[in-house]
Amino acid sequence: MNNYVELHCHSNFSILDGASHPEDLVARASEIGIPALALTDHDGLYGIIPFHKACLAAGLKPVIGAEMTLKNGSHLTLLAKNNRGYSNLCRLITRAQLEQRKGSPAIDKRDLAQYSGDLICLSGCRKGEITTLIASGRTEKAHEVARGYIDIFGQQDFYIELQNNLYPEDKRICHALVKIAKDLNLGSVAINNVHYATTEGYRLHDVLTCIRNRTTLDKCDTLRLNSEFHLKSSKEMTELFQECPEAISNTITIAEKCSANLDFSQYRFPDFPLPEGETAASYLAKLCRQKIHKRYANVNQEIEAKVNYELKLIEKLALSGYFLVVWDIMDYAERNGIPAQGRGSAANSTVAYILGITRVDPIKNKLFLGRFLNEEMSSVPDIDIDVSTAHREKLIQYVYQKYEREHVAMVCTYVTFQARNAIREVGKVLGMPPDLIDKMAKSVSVYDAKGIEQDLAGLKEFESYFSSAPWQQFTSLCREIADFPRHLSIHNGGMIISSRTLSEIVPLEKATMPGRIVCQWDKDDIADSGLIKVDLLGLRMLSLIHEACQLAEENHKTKLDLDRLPLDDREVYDMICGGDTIGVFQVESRAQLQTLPQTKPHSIEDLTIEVALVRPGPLQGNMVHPYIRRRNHLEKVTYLHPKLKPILEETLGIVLFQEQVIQVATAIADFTPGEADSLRRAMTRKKPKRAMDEMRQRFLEGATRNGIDNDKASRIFQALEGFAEYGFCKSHAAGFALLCYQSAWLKRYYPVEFYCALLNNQPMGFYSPEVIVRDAKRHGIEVLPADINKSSDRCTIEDNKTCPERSRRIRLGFRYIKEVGEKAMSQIMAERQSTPYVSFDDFYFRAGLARKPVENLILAGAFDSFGCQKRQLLWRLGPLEKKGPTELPLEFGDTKVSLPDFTELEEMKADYEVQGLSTKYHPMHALRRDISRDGLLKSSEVARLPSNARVRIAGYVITRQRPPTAKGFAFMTLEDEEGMLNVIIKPNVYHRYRQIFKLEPLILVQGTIQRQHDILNIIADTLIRPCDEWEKQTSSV
Amino acid sequence: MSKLFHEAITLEVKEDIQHKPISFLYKSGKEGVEEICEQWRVSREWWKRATDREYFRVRTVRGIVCEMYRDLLTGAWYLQRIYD
Repeated sequence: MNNYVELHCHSNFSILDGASHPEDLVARASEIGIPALALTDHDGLYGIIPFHKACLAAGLKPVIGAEMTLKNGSHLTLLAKNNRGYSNLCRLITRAQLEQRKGSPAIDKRDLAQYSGDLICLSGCRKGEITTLIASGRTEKAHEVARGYIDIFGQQDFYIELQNNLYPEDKRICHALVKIAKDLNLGSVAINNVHYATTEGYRLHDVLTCIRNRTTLDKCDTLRLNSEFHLKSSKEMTELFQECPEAISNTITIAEKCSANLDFSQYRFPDFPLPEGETAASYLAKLCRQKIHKRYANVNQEIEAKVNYELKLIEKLALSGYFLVVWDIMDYAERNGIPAQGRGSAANSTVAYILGITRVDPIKNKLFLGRFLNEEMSSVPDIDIDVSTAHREKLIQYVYQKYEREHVAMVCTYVTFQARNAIREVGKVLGMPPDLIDKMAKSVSVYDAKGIEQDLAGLKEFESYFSSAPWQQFTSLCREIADFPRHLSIHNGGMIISSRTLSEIVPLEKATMPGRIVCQWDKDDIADSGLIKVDLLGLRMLSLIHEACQLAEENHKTKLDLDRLPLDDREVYDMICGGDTIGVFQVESRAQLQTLPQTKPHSIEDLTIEVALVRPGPLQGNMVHPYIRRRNHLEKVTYLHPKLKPILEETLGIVLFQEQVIQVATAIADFTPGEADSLRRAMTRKKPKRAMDEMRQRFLEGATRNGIDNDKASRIFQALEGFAEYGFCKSHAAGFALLCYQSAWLKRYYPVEFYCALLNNQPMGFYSPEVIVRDAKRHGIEVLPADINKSSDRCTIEDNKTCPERSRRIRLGFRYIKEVGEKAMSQIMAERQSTPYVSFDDFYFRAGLARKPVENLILAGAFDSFGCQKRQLLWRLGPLEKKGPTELPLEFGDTKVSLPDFTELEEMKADYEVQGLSTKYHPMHALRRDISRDGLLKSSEVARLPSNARVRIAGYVITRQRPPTAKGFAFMTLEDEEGMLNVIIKPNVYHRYRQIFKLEPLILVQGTIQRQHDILNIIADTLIRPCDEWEKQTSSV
Repeated sequence: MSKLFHEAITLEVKEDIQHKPISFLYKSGKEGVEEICEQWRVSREWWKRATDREYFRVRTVRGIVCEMYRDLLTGAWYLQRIYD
C-alpha cells in the first residue's frame, strides 16, 4: 500500500543541513516503496538535475520544489505544478538570492504574489509562519496569515503542512493546524521534513549542524532532539497521522498535480546580431572570405575546399550563429589586446583558425576535423577559450554587456568534502586535539575522504587510536561526508548564455566576487540539461607571455610578434632537451624533466607529442617507454595493419591522440566519422561493458568486410581500448605546444623579462616562487629583496650599472610581502613620488602604515638600503608609535639600545615567514654546517660520481609526488645550494619513511646513484629528518 | 506543579505490541494507562553516552498524570515526572 509521498525533503544541497545525496534519498524512497518524491532544498534548486535523473532511473516521479525563506525568517514549501510553475520557482529563488545579502536569501509576500502561478504552497515546517503562531498560542493571527496565503495561491493550491517528528509539542500543534485547515476549508498535508535518507543519518546531520555553526558537538545547542527526520514509509507515516488520514492521501493528490519535467527544448543560444540582408551562414562565410588571407598567404584549392566543406557542415548543423558568437568574443579580445586562444578540439577547425578563434593551422598540422565536427553529432561542440588570467575579467564583462545580464551567468562549481577538509572539519566537531587533526590532515595521502581509515591505518603514530570507538566514529563520519558540497564557488571560466531570460531556467545567485552572478548548477548539470556554455578559462601562461613581451619591448626597444616566430630555433630546443625548463609551459614537471633528454624534441611536432605523451594516462597505458625506444631506434616501428601506417606514422605506430582513434575506426572498420567519434566517447567515458561489446562487434564486422582477419582486428581494437584511459586530442596538444615553444623562447632570449613575468604571475606551474628565484640565480640573474624606494607592487627590472655582465636584475615587488595589501602599497608609492624616503623615521611618518606591514617590510629587508639593522628597526618602531611627526627630534636614553643584528639563520627564517622565500639564503646553507659529517655531498659533487655509487645528500624538497600510476613508487626533487637532484623511493622504503617524505621540508637521503640516458637519479634507501641527524651528530661528539 | 525525579525510577510496565504502555506498577499498586497525552522521542549525545528514549506523558485510570520513558537501547522503563 503506497499511499504516501514525501513532499518536504532536503538533500545535501541544503548545504550543511541535508545529510544525504539526492541519489541516496531516491534509492531509499524506492526501497521503501514511495511512488514519488519531492526535493525541497533551502532557497535553491542546486541538486535538482541529479535528483531528477536518479528519479527517472529508479522509476519514481520527481516533484520539483524548494523551501523558501521569507523576510520575517519563516519558511514556506513551494512545489512546481508544471514547467511554468518551475520557471516561477526559479524566478522567486533568483529574487531571494540576488536582492538580499549574499548567503541570506529571502523573499516577501509581494514576490510570492508576483510569481505564484502554477505553484503549490505548503504552509511550512516547524519554522513556518502559521506553525510558529500556533505554537505561541496566536491562533487568530494564524488564521489571518493563512487567509493571506489563500489570496496568493488560491484555496486549491495552498495546504496546511503537518509535521510529527515525535517532538513533545507536535501532536498538539497538529491538532490546532488541522482545525485551521477545517475552518478555512483547506487541505492538510503530512510531511516528515526529511534531512537524511535513513535513521543513521542523524549523526552526520548533527556534525553538519556543528560545522555550520562553527562549534563542537559538546557545545552545540541547536542539535535536533531526535533522529526522526528520515524518509518514512507509508505505513510509518499513516501510523503517525492516524487521526488525520486525509493529510496522508493529500500527499498523493499533490504529487499527481505536479508534472514539471525539466524540458529545456525551448532554450536557445542567443542569435548573433547580423547586418541587414545576411543570414548567420552567409555572414560567417563572408567573414571567412575576408580573413582567409591573413592566415594563408596562398589560398590554394585544398584550403578552399576544406573551408567550403566546413562552412557547409556548420550550416547544416545550425551552428553558424554559435561560431559567430565565439568569433565576436575573440574579435573583442584581439581588438583590446587581450591574449586569448581557443583550446581543445576546436583547433581542428580551419574556420575557427581563419576567424582567429584558434592559433594552430589545422592544415599544416594535419589535424582532423571529425573530432570536432561531424554530420552525425547531436550536441553542440565545445569551443573553450584560454584567456590571460590578468585580462579575463574584461572579456567576461564584455559578454555580460553584449548579451545583457539577464541572459548570462557563470557556471558554479561545488567545493566538496575530500580527505583533508573532512579530517579537519569532522575532527574539530568531535573535539579532537588540534595538533592531532593537523597531523592527520597533513599525513593523509588519499584525496577521497572514503579512503581515510585505510590510509591512516598504515601509520604507526596513529595506531593507538585505531581500536577506540571515537576513532571508528571519526573515520565513519569522514566516509559519510565524502563528496558532500561544502560551499558554492565559481567555475574557472564556464558561462551560459541564453536567448531566454536565464532566471526562468535556472536560479541565479551572487558570487563572492562583487557584481558576479552564478547559476545554481555546475558544468555537469549544465551539460545534462542541454544548455550550452562557453568556457573562458584563465590561463596564467598567456599573462606571462604577454607581460614578458611587454617588458622585453620596453627594455630592448624592440617589437616582438610571437605569432610570427620561426618554430625551429636550435638553441631553444637544446635548452628544452637539456631539461632547463623551469617555468616553461607544460614541460617543467619532474616527469617531463626525466623524459626530455630521452625524447629530445626538435620541432613543434615533437613538442606536440611531448605535451600529450608525458601525462598520467600514457604512463599508465605503458605507451611512454615504447615511444621513447622507437624514437631512439632501440625498437622497430611496426603497424598492426598497413592501413594504420599513414595514421600512426607521426607517433611511431603508437596511438596517442583522440583523432587517431577516429581515423583508425574509419580506415579499418568503415565507421562514419560520427560513429567513430561515438566509439571514442564510449572508450573515454567508460561505458558499460554491454555497450562496448556492441561497439567491438561492429568494429570486427566492418574490419571483416575490409578483408582484415578477426584476430588482427581484435588486436587493433584492443590497442584503441588501451588508449581509452588517456585520451588527449592532438589539436589541444598542438595549441599547448605553441605556448610551450613561445615560453621557452622567451626564457632563452629574454631570461630577465621571463623570470620577472614568471614571478609576477604566480601561482602557476609546478614550482613555488622560491624555486623560481633560485633558478633565476642559476641563470646568472640577480633577484634583489624589496626596497622601500625602488620596489613597485609587482616585481620590476632594474638596470645594474655596476656590473655590465649582469646589466639587469629583478627587484621583488611589495606584493610578495605578507600583510602589505593594495592600500599599503599605493600609500608607499604615492608618498615617495615627489621625494624618496630618506630614513626609516621619515618613511614611518609619511607612509602612515599600521604596525604589521611595517614590521614585515623591515623583516623583508625593505630598509636595508638605509644601512640599518633589522632588530634595531623593530625596536625603533616602539618609540615611533608613541611619537607624533611634528614632535621635536629629541632622543632619550631609553630609546637607544644596542641590539645584536639577526644571524644568517634568523634572517632566512624571517625572509620565509614574511615572503615565503629568501633572495639571499638557501635553506641548506644554514643547515649544512650542522649535519655535514659522514660525507654529506652537494649536488654538484654527486653529478661527478658514477652509477651505483653510495651517496648521502640533503636538500630542500621542491616537489614530492606519489602518482597513482607509479605502482607505489614515490619521487622527490631535492634542491641544495648548487642545484637539483631527483630521488626515487621504492614502495617498501616509502612505507618505512612515509611521514618524513610527506611532512619534512628538508630531508637527508642515503642511497645509490642510478644513471640512465644522461639522467641521474638517487635510489633512496633511507630518509632522515635533519634534526634527528643533527642530534645524532652532536651527541656523538 | 510536578515532581521531577532527577534519578529516574525504574518501572515495571506492561506494553502493547508497539511498545506503548498499557499499565505499570507504582508504589506496589497497578496503574492502568487511560490515555497517552503526548509521545516524543529523544536521541542525543551519540558521540559519548548515547541517549535514546521514547517518552510518554500518560494519564492513568486513577487520574495521575506522569511522564515515563522507555530506554530504546535496553528496553527498560523509567518514571521521570509526576504531575500534581
